[in-house]
Amino acid sequence: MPDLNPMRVEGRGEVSGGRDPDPPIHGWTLLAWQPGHPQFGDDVFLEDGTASVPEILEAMRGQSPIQVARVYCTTPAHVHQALGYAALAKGG
Amino acid sequence: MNLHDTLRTNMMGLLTTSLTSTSRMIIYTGSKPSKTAAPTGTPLGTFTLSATPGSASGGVYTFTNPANITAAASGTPGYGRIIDGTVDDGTHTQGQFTCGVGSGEFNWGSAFTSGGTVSVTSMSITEGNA
Repeated sequence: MPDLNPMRVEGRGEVSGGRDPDPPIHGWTLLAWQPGHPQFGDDVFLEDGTASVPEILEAMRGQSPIQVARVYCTTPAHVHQALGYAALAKGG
Repeated sequence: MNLHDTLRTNMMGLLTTSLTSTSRMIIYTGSKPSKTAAPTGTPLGTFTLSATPGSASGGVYTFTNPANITAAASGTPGYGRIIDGTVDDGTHTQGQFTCGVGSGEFNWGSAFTSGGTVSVTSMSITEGNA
């Protein structure tokens, strides 16, 4: 079977307007937000849908990010972003 | 290997058949899962593709830009899927691709913002054996 080259997908798109939480989550690639979310309400949440930022903050009492990630079946990177965002929100 | 352009065009033209007359393009956050798995991440927006989603010429399938949509959530686009039908459960994936802001196979100008207007300005798939 001869080698075939892969197909190439090229797309471009734009987004305008809309609402972001305060502070905005632009740059926080592992977080998401949807006002009135059926599970997380108006809270910012992990983009994989496993927990909200307040839930992560609450779970951190006496536990490491790795332990919390294990509890919520998410990644330590997601937990770190939730903590970073929470700190930013508190400071703001 | 190099293929005749007619063959390349015919191959790409099969996309229209595979997508059927009811197809969607859905953008999600996070890393793309296996194409046959249920989607992961947060759905940011769902585009309704045209009954004839695009056309093939010179080995390139060019999609007709779908109508603008309203973003369902705020987040960073990570991957997208093109599915036949309207239900994305992993069994209808006809194509899956990476997304990013300023990067990725599908390059978005910015992250999605809930309630924002989202538009596709171009989209094509090129057969790679010209």
